[in-house]
Amino acid sequence: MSILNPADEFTDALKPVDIAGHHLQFKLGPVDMSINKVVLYLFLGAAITALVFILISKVARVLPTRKQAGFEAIYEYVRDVLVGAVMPAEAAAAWFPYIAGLFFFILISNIIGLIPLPFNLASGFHNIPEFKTYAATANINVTIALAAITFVATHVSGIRANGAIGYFKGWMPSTAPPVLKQVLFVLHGISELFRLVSLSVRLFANLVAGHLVLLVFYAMILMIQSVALAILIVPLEASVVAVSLFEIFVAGIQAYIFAILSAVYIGGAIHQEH
Amino acid sequence: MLSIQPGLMIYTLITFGILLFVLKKYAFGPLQAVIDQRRDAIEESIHHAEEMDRKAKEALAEYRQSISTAKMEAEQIVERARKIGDDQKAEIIGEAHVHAQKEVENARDQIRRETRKAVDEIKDQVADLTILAAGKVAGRTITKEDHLRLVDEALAEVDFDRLGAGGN
Repeated sequence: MSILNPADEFTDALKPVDIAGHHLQFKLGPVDMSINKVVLYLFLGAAITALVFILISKVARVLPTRKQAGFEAIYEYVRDVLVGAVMPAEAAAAWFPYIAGLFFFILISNIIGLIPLPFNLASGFHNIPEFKTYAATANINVTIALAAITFVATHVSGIRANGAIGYFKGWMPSTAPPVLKQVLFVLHGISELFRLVSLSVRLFANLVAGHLVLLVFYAMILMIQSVALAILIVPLEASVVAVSLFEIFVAGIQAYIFAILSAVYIGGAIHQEH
Repeated sequence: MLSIQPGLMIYTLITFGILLFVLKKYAFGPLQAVIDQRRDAIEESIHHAEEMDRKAKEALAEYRQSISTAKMEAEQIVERARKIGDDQKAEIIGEAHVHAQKEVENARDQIRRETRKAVDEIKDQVADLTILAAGKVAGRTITKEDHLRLVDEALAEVDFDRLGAGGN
């Protein structure tokens, strides 16, 4: 039983999926471009994010309904607090779509990850699909790609705002002794790389950890074979509910952290502190 | 779990890129337009309300000014009327005084005339009586000269002022 090893869920997600008898395995040169569960979750997350926003923007009226007002409150919070408060005004206006897109895409992807969906069509028992949870953001490749966009955006916008020389000069504090400047430059370069790593690993690790904890609880419930131990099922299921609730909070907080750190990095590169 | 798969990264970049394009063009733009439209409408309403408030204040000031002017004019009218009344009163009183004075003068003239007439009548009667009485006392006929002399003497003793005062 594969479910007894929770980590299998993450390796299985990388296998190409079969849809309507088609094995969706593709190669683009040396690069594996197969459609797997991660890609499906990516598409699903992006599609739901786009649909939600398009729907809201279509029904949005000048005199808002209660639902619209609630949604606009979140939208304006992202615009004014997540972006407006950490970036210079002009940069905030230019970078708001990116930061807001990141926040809502990651948030919705994280939340989709908490909903059991029947994506394992082929592996179901007697062709009954298995409902399983998975999140695109629980894959390191997805989070690295998202963090890479922020990484590139940070340095491109920094160079655009300050000029290449001015931007890289900003990596060295002007008050530092000349002998230390080169060392500080290298250290800053390393810290920039680690920002990319920390941004991607933080999101990936939190999502994986949450899903692993839930899968461990499921596995423990399934492992209980004796009637005497059946009494443990209730606290285990209560724990699953508690961890799931906590994961909703984690889904929000991780999306918030990823988005606000992206805004801070890009804002910091545009408006350098010397 | 940690295997690096460039294909997934490419899918992520493409998916997120398309999502960003769609959000920017079809969601954030229209949504922000609605929010901006609402902000403009609210600003316009505030400006309109301020304009109305300003106009109302102006109208109130104008109204107060009109009230004040009307009050002042009313006071002037009352004052003028009072003055005219006073003038007319003074004129009427003056005229009444003159008229009364005239009446008094007329009355006095008339009294004087009547008194003189009465005195003349008395004078004649006294003369006649005196002649008659004197003739009886003297047993003789008194001449006209005697007669007139006796009348004058008698009249000299009469106090006409007292007669006049008694006539009033």
